[in-house]
Amino acid sequence: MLWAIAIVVVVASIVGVGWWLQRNDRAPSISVNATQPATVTPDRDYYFFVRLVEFNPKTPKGKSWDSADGSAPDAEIVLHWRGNKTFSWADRKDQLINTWDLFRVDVKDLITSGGKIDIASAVNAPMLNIKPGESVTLEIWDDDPAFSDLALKMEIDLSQLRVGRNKIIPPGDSGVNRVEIDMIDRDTPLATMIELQSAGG
Amino acid sequence: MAQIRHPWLPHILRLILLSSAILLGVGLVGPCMKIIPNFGEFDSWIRLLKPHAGKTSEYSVLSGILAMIDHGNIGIGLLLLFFSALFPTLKLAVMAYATQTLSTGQRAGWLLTAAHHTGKFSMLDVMVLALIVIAIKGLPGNTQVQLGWGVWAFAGSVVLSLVGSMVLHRLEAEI
Repeated sequence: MLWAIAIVVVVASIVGVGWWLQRNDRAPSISVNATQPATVTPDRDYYFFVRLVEFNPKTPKGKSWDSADGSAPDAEIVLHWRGNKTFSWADRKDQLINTWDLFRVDVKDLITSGGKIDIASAVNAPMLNIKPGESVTLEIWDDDPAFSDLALKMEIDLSQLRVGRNKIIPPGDSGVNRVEIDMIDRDTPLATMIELQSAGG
Repeated sequence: MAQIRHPWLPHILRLILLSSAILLGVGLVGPCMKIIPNFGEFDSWIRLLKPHAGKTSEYSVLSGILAMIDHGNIGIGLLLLFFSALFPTLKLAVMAYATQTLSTGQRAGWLLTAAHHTGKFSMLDVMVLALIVIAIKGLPGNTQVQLGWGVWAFAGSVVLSLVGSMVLHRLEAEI
């Protein structure tokens, strides 16, 4: 009987130890970006990606966003840098919370270019070079065919932004409740950017 | 009480059964299958738009079965758990008990019959593995399945248990 018990104990012990080792192997993958710098590095290039904009339920004047049918705003985000309109994020229809993806493919362009695409051109964000004291202007519009309403216009000091996710809470009297901006180093590998996209940041 | 003609035979048999048990434990938790998904001509697009779908996954026999149970296939998962983990362990334990009985010069009786009948199921677990591999090999888009060393340990355990079964019958014949 002793040998029979020994056999069961041997199998159970190996399985137990093996299982424990496998669990410990997986554990370190939980921590990410622990060594990232607090703020962006001057003279480096970063993608400036507006990931999320949440509107307040009413305009800054306390009115409905769309007086005709009472629908939520049609968000359009415009970025100005060094005196130029640098980028805009596409319209979102009738949403209070608007999100954008880090990658965006124009299917029409894809077809007309013979089905080939440059992955860098699919990044849905402009690239900015960080200079100390320099800022960008972000405009958040409710895009209407007749009269567009400016929900928020803000200056953002680039050197104050952190690498990764930045959550900005605008003043209470604006039409916007919160904005999320991702600063992504230009040299970030494509695979990591894809991971950022799929992990929601 | 009868004497055994080759007194070293029980020691050899114990060594075989112990080796089989070690290989079984290692085979259950060692890497068994690595599945490398491929989506054919749409591969780069799917990796771009849905990266998690393109991730390589690695399973041991045990983690594969537990994943199966976790995904709701409780019946087939428990069946595989029985035939791949519990059943081979019990089979080796019965054979070890029979060896101990025979080494004292007594007949093993029902133990030997049990060991003989359970031996018939020895290759069932390996067959299940083979079926899984064939099933995934048949997927479109060049999805690849690479076998890990866990399979060899598992197969080694099965082979040793078969050898053990033959030695056990030889031992019984000597009494």
